[in-house]
Amino acid sequence: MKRTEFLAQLRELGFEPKDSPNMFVTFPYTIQVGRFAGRNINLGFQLHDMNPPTGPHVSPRLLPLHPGGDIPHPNGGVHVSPLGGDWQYWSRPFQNWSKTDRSAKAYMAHITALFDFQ
Amino acid sequence: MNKSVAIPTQVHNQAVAHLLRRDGQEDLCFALWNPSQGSIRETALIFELIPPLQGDREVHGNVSFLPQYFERAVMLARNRKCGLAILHSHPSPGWQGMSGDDIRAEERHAPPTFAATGFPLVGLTLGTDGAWSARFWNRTGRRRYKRKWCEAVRVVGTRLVVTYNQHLLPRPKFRDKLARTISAWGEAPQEDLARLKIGVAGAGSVGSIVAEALARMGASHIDLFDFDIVEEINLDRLLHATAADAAQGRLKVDVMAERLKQSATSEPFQVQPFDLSVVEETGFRRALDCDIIFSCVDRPWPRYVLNFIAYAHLIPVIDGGIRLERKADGLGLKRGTWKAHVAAPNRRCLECLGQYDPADVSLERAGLLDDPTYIAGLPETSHFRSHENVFPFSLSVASMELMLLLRMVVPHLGNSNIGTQTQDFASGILDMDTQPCHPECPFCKMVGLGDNSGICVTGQHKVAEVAREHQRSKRRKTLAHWLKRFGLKW
Repeated sequence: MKRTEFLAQLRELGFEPKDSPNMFVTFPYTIQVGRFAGRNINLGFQLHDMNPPTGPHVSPRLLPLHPGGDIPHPNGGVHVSPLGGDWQYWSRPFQNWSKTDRSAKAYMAHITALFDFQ
Repeated sequence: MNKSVAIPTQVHNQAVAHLLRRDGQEDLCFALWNPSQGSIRETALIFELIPPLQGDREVHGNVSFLPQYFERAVMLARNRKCGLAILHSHPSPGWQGMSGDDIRAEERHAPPTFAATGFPLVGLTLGTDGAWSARFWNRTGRRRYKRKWCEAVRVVGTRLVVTYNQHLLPRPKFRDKLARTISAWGEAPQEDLARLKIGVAGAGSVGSIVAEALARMGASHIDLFDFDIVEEINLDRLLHATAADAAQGRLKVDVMAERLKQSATSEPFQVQPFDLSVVEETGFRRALDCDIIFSCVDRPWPRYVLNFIAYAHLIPVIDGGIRLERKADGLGLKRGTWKAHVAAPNRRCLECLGQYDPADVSLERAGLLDDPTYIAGLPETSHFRSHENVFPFSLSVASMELMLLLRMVVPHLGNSNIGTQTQDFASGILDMDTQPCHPECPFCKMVGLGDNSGICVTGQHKVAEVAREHQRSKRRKTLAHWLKRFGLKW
């Protein structure tokens, strides 16, 4: 799927994606589940044609930084984000992308699942 | 700009069924093509035939078409934003020339084709043996169109069958040093093998062995792609690299090119070293100048790009990989497997084979796989933290990949498509897996789309850029040193 199609699908889902430098896309997002349910944050990711977006960049920072993958989700693999400010990057690549219909809906389901922790 | 044509086997078979008539008369049809723009070669990718309807053409020994057929075909090409090709058959084998009638027919239809589509008309002729010839009709001025012959036409799928234009790419003359190679499969297959433009993406352990074998077995044109330098830690597995090369920080492609010129048995022999990655736009366009590419890379992004090239641009990619796991006590191998396969239309693609994960492509494009902090944070068992190119295993993979090349190019009585070959170290078993792609595989849907796919697979590769800048800086320092030595100023 082309990047433009993915963005169009995000709009159809009710999001307002904004293009940023270095192929980043950011938009406001309300967390649906888990410990932070109801919180309004900014969500971001890098997006290219055909491949899934990267793991989520989140602002404001919700979790303590911990670059090591030695502890499981949600606390491991949390990095400083190149978006700067109070953004952080959660290293959670969408490894089942090719088993889905490769849509924005599938990716946002992955995001929802990532927030589903207490 | 050189010209060529590529046709998927499926479309070629449809064309043969229509054009090579049982009554021996000529026939014709139109077809659609997409452009594939390399650095020095433009290729027309024929992806769909437009069969004639009742009354569209007249077969009378020769064949002619009525205006309604051309109009329908050119409007279809215009609406689909692609080029138009005209295909017809001749009653003789091999690369075909053109009769006066052929020339007039194509020349007359070149202007309206260009006006309607923005692409030159491409003409193809099919011989009785399934060999194609082809030409572009380029606009050279106001109402002036000139024929430019293609160098070759390749049919791509389970096999790679290339018809060469003898005037532009004449049959090579072989010397005694190739006598034994030729005795294995004959002069005609060797002529075809020798004239292939072969790319080797990755001049590391596997790539260096593949390139050496190609040079020895008579390949005459090899393009090498790698921005990396020789380091001491490579010397246990990088063919031809020496401690002196490592000390000087020489580019792997430069070392290989130098040594291949000594190993090569073909005359003339051309090897082009490119300190580029195929994920960069310039490297990608250079790769599109090749007829077949060996993928000797170990990163997900270049594998994804090569996978795209195999389907969208009809350039088969021969790929392989090694997985080793040491025993927990550190004494010996727990398991080791290595595999090789071809990515091309009607064959399983690299993504469906699991040779890369699309999520990892995103990681690499984001620069994370070149970030030492990120890599250090990955689990110990992550495949990005393992280093599995060990010389004997690289030798095995390279050998399997070369056999796959021969299966595609040299006629034989066996099956050209044996799928993925996987060898297991512990059991010694060699498995073959011929499963097709996943039904929803996006690459199967982009066969022959070329530059009209609208997909951008390339991007900035910071590590490659830094590596090249480092090389430039080294050269400047060396030049400055010698200028100073001779009392000259920069």
